[in-house]
Amino acid sequence: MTSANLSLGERLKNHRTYINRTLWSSYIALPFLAAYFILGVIMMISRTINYAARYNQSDAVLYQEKLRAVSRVLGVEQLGFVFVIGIAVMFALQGFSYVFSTSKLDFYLSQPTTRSQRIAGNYFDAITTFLIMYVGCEVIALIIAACMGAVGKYLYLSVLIETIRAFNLFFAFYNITVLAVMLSGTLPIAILLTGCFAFISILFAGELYFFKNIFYATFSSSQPFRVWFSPMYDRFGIYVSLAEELRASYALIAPEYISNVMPKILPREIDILITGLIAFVFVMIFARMRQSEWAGKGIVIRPFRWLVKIVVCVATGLGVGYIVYLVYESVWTTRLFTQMCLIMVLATIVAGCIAEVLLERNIKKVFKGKAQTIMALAIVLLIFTIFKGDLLGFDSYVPAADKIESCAIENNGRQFNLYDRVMYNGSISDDGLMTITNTEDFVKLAKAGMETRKIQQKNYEEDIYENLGYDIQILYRLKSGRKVYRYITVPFKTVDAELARIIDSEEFKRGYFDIFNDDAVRKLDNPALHNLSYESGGRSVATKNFVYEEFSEAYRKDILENYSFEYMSTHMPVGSVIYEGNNDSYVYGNLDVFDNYANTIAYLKKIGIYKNNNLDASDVREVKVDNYYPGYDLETMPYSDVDINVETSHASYTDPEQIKELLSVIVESGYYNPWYDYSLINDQYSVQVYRNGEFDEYSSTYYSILKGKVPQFVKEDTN
Amino acid sequence: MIELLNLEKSFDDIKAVNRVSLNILDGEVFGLVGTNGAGKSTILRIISGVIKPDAGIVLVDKRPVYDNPEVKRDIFYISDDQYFLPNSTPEEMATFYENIYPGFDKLRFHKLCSGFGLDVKRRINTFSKGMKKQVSILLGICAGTKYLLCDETFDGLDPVVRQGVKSLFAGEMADRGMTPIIASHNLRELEDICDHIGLLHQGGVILSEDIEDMKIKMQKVQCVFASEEDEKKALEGLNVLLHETRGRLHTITIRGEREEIEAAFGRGNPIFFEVLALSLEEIFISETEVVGYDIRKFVLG
Repeated sequence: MTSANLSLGERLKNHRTYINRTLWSSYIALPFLAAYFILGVIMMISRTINYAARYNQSDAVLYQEKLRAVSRVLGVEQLGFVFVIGIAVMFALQGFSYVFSTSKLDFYLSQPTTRSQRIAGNYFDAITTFLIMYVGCEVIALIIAACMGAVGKYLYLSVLIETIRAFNLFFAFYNITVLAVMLSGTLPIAILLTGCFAFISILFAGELYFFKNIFYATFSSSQPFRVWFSPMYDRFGIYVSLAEELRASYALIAPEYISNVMPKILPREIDILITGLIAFVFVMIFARMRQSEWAGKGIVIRPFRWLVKIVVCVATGLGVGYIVYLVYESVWTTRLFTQMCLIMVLATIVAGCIAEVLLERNIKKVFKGKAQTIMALAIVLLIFTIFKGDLLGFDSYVPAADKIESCAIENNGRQFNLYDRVMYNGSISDDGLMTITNTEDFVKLAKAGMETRKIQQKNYEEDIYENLGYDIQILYRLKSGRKVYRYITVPFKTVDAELARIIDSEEFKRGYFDIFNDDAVRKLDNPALHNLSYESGGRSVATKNFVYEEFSEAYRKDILENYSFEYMSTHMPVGSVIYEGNNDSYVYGNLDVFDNYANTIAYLKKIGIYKNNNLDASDVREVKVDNYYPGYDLETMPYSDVDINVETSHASYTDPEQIKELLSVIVESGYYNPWYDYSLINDQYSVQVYRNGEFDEYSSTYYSILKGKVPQFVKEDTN
Repeated sequence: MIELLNLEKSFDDIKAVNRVSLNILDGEVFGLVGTNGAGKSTILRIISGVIKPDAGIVLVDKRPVYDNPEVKRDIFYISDDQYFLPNSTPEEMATFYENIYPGFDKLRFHKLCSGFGLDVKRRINTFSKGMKKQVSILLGICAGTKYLLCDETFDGLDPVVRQGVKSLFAGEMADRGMTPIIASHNLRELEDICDHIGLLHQGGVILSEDIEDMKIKMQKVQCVFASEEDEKKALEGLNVLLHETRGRLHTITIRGEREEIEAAFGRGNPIFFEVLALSLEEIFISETEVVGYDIRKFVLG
């Protein structure tokens, strides 16, 4: 009897035998998947139950904890995607590695199928085997979870979303690996190419990001690090941010959980899907082109071989450039940039030689393929020139005002910090809270700020360190939806009018100061466990008897009524309020107080912690002055002319007249005021003031002398 | 019938098959012989649809073979370096082929394995080289295809098994008209099984003829002449391919039919004259030397 009469059942049984023999790696993967899903769920739920018993958690809390435990194994926060990637790569290599062996090619391609049927069959076998394994383990784990009372409809939804994501990821990595196989003649080259496909976009994105950081004066590290067409980055990146965020916030498995997660994962999943589909299309093209006799070659298609070599050389050249930057990070001059360029050129050439030896598997071919190396060199030099010369205008880019939806100035003040039970350090600051709509003024100050920033950067390269303006990070929210961050130096004086209109606006203040967004602090505040202190002039007074909301309202009022650019540019804070809340989470707040904060000062007086610590000569027993560069006058000569190794000279004053004169020309430097015109200060001198009753130097307060107002006796005594 | 017309195939700079034209008739045993690297395996791989030719036409029963499952169902290719599924047994390979070839007879495969002393449940990777070849041949025979392509298949088989396989081939040819195409460089092996021979060298066909025709068209003569004049008279007008002399004994290979040669030698009146049977090997040595190939390059087994 011949096989023409085989029943469908017999055919399926025979096919199973075939899969057992060809995708035997599934026998390796299955125990891992089963251990992860099934044992993982059992262990996580058991742990939750033990924890609940030990700390007397209520049933409702225990149920949520169980759901979270299962979600961490099966849901969108899971780490099982690592197995998915591994299985996809393994199945693809196993299913298509026949193209590397003549005997296997003879075996498979002489059979009565077409090439496309064979590829489709391999895809079908791999995908069905994966799904059966994955879904099978998942269903068993869910049944166990259900038996342990750890399921709910939003958990099911989370698991379903994760299953779709797992398939998406499998499809992408399977296609990427098959593409690598189709372009290779040997297994080691295919594995290298798979790694190359998985990581190359991350590598280039990273290198270009670092180059922006190195060469562009206005580059801001807040600019998101974007990587496209990298399922590896997409999945790991989103895992890290989701795991951190969801675990830190103790997200409940509820509708908000899904609605919070979906916008984050969807763009990344779309990137994974598009990458998978592109790889699939290329697989179809190259599978059609591929010839049986290519088995055993390195990289089988000549143009692609060129591309691989050029990409490897360029990536190496740029990477080495960044390493050079790291080595010489401290001082950057034109000479060092030239040195960096030469080392990049050398690295590109060496990479070309090594790539050739690896691809040809023959050390004698070290100098082969000069054309590709020259092309790679040209690209490396072009990239270097583009960045060094800013040919793309990165440092000059200011969007047209009509293209900007809104703007923001980064709040780097972090007035409040929250530390939760797992030591998560959170801030309630967020540039999303500020929406400046005065784009006309913003663009003007941004243009001036970018120019000044570039001048300042050039000065640094020439060893000139001069404070030219306010260093701030800005954000443009474009109407296209794009966010553009830049680090600029708004020059002192030049655009003060524009800056004042922005700083004095309510939309700036409400976004910039955490006090307007302190709902979390108010919620966590516990009158029995909080503390408020006022520090000024090195002295501090604290109380527990206050109402946080009252303080907050007073401070908010001062910001809205009394905080102005004009005032801030000429005054430094006189003290600061420290808030500490010790409820379930620890909250720490540090809020500067200016002389004109009448409402805050009134409230501090009301609760008995305000003390006017304005300096009075009669209260000062000694003033010490340090001159860091004796023999020089930095007000009349550039810093580059100074011998930095010169020894600091000291002078001490106890004469009341001299003290009085000194006190009239100093400002406190212990606080930071982002809008203070620091060009008013002479950095050459530092002043320490000792009040009566303070005997050690640690109790002193530090001050700076205003420019042009250094007393003659100080100059004479310290030079 | 398999037709190859002006077939060409190059691997990088090497021309493996150079304008090969051959016709393989149904029901005959076709032998492809040639030096190493002559292109035998490449031609078989092209016929089986593994490789696409650069130029030329391959037709199997008037149908193109490349990427054509309908045609490939009529072909079973046993390559020189046989591949079996990882850790598989003969039984599992039969199960696999059962799904591939509609004419596969698993029952017969079991019987034949039993007859050849092969354990169908033993892993093939534990078999000897010869046993693996036996499994391949039995799988090929049981696939029930019209054409069976064998690349160096008889190498490594012991004489008894070789004889058994030859008998099986004969039986299949008689029962269902199977056409074996056997590539080998062992001429002695092919001599007693092939009906038709195609000789390849450096990618080209030197000759393609029925073995019987070859033997009829070429004769080896041993003779002793009384004088040089007699020798000249005898050889006048004959197409002498090889002529060796040991003492007075001449061994001469001549293209031509026996009667024609006997008549010519009658004119020379030799003292001793005998027409001997030519082996395939001798025919090829003669033919290749005639066209200028160095005999030492051939591997005759």
